[in-house]
Amino acid sequence: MDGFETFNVKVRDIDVLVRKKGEGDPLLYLHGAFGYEGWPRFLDLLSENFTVYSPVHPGFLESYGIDEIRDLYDLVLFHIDLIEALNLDRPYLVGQFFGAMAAGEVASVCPHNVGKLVLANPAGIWLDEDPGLDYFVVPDSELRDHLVSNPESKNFKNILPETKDETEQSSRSINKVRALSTVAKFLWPVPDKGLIRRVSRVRCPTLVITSEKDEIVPVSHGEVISSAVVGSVHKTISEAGHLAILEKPEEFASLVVEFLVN
Amino acid sequence: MKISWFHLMPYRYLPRDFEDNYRSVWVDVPSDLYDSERGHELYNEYLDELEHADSVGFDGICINEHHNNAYGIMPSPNIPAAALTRRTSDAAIIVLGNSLALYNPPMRVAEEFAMLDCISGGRLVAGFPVGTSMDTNFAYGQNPALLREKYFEAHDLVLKAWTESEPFAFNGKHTQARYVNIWPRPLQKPHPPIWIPGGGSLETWEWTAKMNYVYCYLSYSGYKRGIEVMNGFWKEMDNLGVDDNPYRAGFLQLVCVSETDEKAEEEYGEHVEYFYKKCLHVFEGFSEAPGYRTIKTIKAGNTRQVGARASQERQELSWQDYKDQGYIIAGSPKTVIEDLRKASEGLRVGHLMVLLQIGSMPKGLTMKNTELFASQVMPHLQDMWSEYEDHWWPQPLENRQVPGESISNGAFV
Repeated sequence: MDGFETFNVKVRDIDVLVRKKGEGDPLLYLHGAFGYEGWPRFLDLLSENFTVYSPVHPGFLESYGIDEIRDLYDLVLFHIDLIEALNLDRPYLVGQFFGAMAAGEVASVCPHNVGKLVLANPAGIWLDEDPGLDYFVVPDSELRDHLVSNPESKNFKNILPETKDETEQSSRSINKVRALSTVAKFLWPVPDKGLIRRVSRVRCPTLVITSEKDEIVPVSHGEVISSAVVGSVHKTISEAGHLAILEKPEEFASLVVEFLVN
Repeated sequence: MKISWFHLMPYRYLPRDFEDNYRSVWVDVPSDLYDSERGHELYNEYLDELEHADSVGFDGICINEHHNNAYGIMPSPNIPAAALTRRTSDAAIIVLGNSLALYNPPMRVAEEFAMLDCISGGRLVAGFPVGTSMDTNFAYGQNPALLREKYFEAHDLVLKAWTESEPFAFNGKHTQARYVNIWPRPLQKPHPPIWIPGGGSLETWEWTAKMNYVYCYLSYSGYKRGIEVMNGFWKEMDNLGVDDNPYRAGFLQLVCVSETDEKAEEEYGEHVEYFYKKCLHVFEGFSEAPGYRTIKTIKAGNTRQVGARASQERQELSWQDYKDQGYIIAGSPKTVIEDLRKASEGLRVGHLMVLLQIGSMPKGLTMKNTELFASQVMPHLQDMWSEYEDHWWPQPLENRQVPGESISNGAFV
């Protein structure tokens, strides 16, 4: 998980940290509320076929400037401006959860500026009969267990290792509050902010990926979005939870690559 | 020192094993635990108690606002406040308060407080809490990332609505209106004194100092921890070049007065337990939505009042522990006087608020507590801070209307 470069790009007054690796057509990866740190395996696998750009969203880790993004409208414009600032021409947009909502909005507003769209475990849908877990109220100590299908797996323990170090715990705790308050800014208290009304404007090939055991984004949400985008495909990764990107990186990456390359 | 009688209006009839069977007294506490007939009794008893406090000489009577919970059944404090304007005559009516971000538009707060001030003859204290996360983010769906910003904008609008003489337009982020022009206006000029209940956030200290408001530290961690926090508060005031007038501060203390220290435990023990074990049984996940407290405050480490850690700390406390740690001040009048003086001095608080109805405490015991406190404790505390002037107290009309007099004096003009 090495060999990626890191640089800053300025989007209006916001300094965005970006990680980049690979060669080939540009792929912009927009992360979600969890599992956004570092350069995980699935991004590495994607970078074998594409030039992968992974920006750190304002409000997360070292990217500041979330105050400049006041509402959903600003959020969408920010991402459009980011694509321009990175000089990307009709990039493939791959979003996970919160990033998937942003990707969906961008592709709805600028249908001709997006090459292809992948929405993984997408946020932004509300179904009374299947709302998904309110992750905002899950106590810190329990949250990890709800993000993957098998919290006991060695794989998972290596990916999101626990720590006994108090300074590290404190730092993670602060990062989590910042990250979730940024997500809250756009999704609180009920995450339906109208994406479903706009996503029929998408004109590019679209793949929706859900995870069979995702407690946060039920498979039904993927169905709803996919039904609204003409010609879209909906795939479900079995034996995987919300963070399938970390739990099943090979399967995830191969679904995406196959879709983008064809 | 001003001494005020605070009512939380708890629901007294939660089942014995409540905290074992339900995750929270707040937000998702089942509605079938509320019996409306009991509610009818409780509201009326509680209003009786507040009115009584006025008649036995408390300087003020206090009420507050909370939602979706059995800890306190006052989601709309302006309703009991209105009842109290008519059936009390001297006490300040301290509404602590209207949780500004929850009133849309905020002009409603400006109007209702103006009405309360006029009806009471100028006895209102206007409280503006930000509101707990349970109330604001979970019960009322307010965005935690935007709550404080919305609160401050609402505050500015209310103040302008009270003081701007001409109609004005307001182009805010959370409220827009073209003709803000409230009728009536508050009786007190330029407006009623403003008190800010807070839980220890640093930004609130700076702001209350800048605005010259009273900061009320409402804490359930006991006065000893309260003293630590207030030391920080007074240090910050000093840093900001603000004087140390104790009337800049308010504090709520649970108090139980009996004939002897031993009898206090007998009489009050189960009700104090009910309060701490049931009324404060808040599910960890509801205690703080992300963004509710600023990163700065989190890093400063001021402990939260509810949530796992707070509950943990109170887990196996005995009566003596509750006393030793300052959660309650309890005992004979002599003990209570001593401890309250010590607490008030340590906190340096000029506006002491006492909680004399605690948890499941029934009417009879509440009245006893109040009588003993008013007659045997209060007179021995009122001399404190006499060298300071209270600039944050209502200034009512001298000759106020007496309810009914406009009809009873026979002059049908």
